[in-house]
Amino acid sequence: MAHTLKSTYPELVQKAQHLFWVKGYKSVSNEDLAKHLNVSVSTIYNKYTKEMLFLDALDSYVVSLSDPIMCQIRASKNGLQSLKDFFYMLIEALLDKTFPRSCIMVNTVVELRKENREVSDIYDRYFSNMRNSYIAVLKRAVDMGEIIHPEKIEQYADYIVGMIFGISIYYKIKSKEELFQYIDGHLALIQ
Amino acid sequence: MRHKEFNSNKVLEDVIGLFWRNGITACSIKDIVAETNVNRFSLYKEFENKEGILLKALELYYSRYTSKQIAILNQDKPSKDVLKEFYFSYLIENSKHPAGCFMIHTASELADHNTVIKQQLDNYIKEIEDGIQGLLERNNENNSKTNTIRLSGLFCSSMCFCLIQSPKERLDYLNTSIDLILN
Repeated sequence: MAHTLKSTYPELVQKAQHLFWVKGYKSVSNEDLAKHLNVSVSTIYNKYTKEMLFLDALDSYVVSLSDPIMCQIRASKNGLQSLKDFFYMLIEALLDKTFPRSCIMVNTVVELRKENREVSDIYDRYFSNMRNSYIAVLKRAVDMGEIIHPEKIEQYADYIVGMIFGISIYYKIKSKEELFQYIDGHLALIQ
Repeated sequence: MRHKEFNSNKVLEDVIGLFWRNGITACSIKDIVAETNVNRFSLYKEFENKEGILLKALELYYSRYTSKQIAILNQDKPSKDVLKEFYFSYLIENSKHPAGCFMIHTASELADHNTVIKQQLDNYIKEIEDGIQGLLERNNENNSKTNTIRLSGLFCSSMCFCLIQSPKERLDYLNTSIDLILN
């Protein structure tokens, strides 16, 4: 008799995402994964491999969590305030553990670097989408007269992309007030 | 009396490499035995457990590498030159270590749940902040306090972000960011 799974594949990806987010990639064994997903180990070996679940967990993070936020930022008419709102929201999510451990993409960068080609392709899409969203906000901020040096917006965008990495370490040791000051301090540079 | 038959620092150097490549949680004592060629009994006798090995490895990493890197900040040279030298000292791959910082790498994995590692990260970042603030004050830079926070943030950013960048991208990112902060 064919073994039927209790969960759909997207549900398994969601569950796997949480485990990878907390534990990273390398420390999760096939056995851990099977147990966490409530499937047999042979399912992990033969059907949904750890690598496949991981790649889809990253993709799902981009599609269901990060892209909608980036769309919202691009559509916002609030100029630099929309960046501030975004980073404040990120800090809240990190501190209240809506994000269980840092940003899953930053964790993956630190753990896997460029060891896996398909993971690198996901970084490229993620960070270029993020950068494009920041550029859109900065252009609007220029139109609103918020930026004194419009010729520098490309540099500003690179700098802001880097901020998420710093926050992903900083939140572990700093208070919410310090983190908010940290965001304000960085964003004040581009005004 | 039986004397110790291995060199602790050599073992710890091997462990740093292993933890850095494979992650700390993912490494078992068996993996450490295989990497260091020291048997389990001797490892436990010397370091007590895996956490003991990690803490001694961090201590060695600090005394051999990061304490010297942080000392770069004490030089009497223009701020931008010193800062570039400081950041870049972490971003050169060599046969022993990959680019980045083992302390940041460890903290990224463990600081959320391990209070000892969290405290070490806190001390480490404070020491870097003190070094940067001292440098900016010696050179009479404006806004030294705010810029210290920005520059130590840039340190954390670059220890993660630069790992996936090419050497040229790292150079551009750091130069642009330092110029942005100190102009």
